Amino acid sequence: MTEDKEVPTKKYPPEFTITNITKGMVRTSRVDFLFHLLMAILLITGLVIDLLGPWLGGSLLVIRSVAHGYVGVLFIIVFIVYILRIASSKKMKMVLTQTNTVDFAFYIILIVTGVMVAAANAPWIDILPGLAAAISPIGAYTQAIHVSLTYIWVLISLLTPSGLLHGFACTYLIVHFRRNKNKSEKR
Amino acid sequence: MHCHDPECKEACPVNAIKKFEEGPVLIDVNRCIGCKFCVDACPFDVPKFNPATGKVDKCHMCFDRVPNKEPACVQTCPTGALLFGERQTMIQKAMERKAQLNGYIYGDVDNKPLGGTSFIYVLKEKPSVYGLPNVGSTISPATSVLRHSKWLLIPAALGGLMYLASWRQRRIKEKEE
Ligand code: HEM
Ligand code: HEM
Repeated sequence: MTEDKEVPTKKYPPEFTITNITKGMVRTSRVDFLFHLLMAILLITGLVIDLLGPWLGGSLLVIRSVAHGYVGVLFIIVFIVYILRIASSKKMKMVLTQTNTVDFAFYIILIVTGVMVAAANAPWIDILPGLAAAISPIGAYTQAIHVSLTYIWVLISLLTPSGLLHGFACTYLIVHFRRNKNKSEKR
Repeated sequence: MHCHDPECKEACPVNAIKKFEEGPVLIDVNRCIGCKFCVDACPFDVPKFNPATGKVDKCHMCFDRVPNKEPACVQTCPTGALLFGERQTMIQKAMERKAQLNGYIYGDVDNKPLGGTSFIYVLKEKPSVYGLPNVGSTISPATSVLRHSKWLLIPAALGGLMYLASWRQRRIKEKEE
């Protein structure tokens, strides 16, 4: 078993490959798990609404309000905790890649526009005086930004090794790691 | 406003909004998922989210009354400021009234927001004085982006496949070495 353990590469910064990005990525915390889970739910439900809407129609109401809306609110809370964790943890900062940081920027815009879509014509936004007036010029673009940014993020994260590619690569590594582990245990 | 080319219809991800030949733009409540894309897309600020139903409401031009009766607002308006009828007749009346007032027509004739609206206003002052927005005659680029951005999935899938192919190639090479 000992020869399976790889010695980490000394080169800094590490080369920009999937294996390097995913190497050393260990599940670190519950917040990390929650972050990934909620993000995946939001991504999938968002895509289902936009891609399958013409076919699924009104049955998507629960998906929109519960699986995207309420989960969206949970995600925002977890996201804030996640960012604070990263900011306060050396270990987390080390496993984060540059592209993860770009992902974060995307998510922040998705969160802001998502909340604005959810709050369209909702009176609570006027609790803060002048807020509705201040954001009304971008009101007409919020849904367009929210949805197109999702696709732009998917595109970028498959062309550069970030978001989705990192997800696929991690999944692949975990699956393979498990398989290899089982093999060696049988021996 | 029951536009000729409704922007709300274009923004709806579940095709719940329909434009009828006779004029009305209606929301099919059974299809609406309350996503509010139409609320943000409408330059006239017409559709409104209803928290009680979780869906969006808008004027339906009293489609259930119309063949036999006028829309309720027309019937009840105490000053008779609202008229209802065939589009060409209405435009004719609007032009006569405009001439009387030396005013403006909003919705057709002078300007055609989103291809022309079924609500046509005859105004004494410029439309902006009444807070009526300056709307282009076609769907805004933002709503087109909303509608068509899903096509980015094609280059994304191609990019992902290319990445996969080059990674496999590298693995095969590594194994050979
Ligand atoms: C803002 C975007 C993202 C950030 C900042 C991020 C961050 C991380 C970090 C730091 C790790 C390693 C730590 C750990 O394993 O707990 C990780 C692992 C992982 N990520 Fe992400 N990730 C992002 C997006 C994604 C996406 C889009 C997917 C899948 C669609 C994904 C799937 C995974 C998987 C499967 C793992 C390994 C499993 C695990 O250990 O939890 N990630 N991610
Ligand atoms: C094409 C994809 C997407 C579509 C069609 C979509 C659609 C929507 C809609 C309709 C809302 C309003 C929900 C409501 O009023 O209850 C919303 C809110 C939201 N979305 Fe998305 N979305 C997409 C992708 C994403 C992604 C990828 C994320 C983040 C990972 C995200 C995060 C959010 C958040 C945080 C909210 C606010 C939730 C709330 O305040 O209730 N969305 N989105």
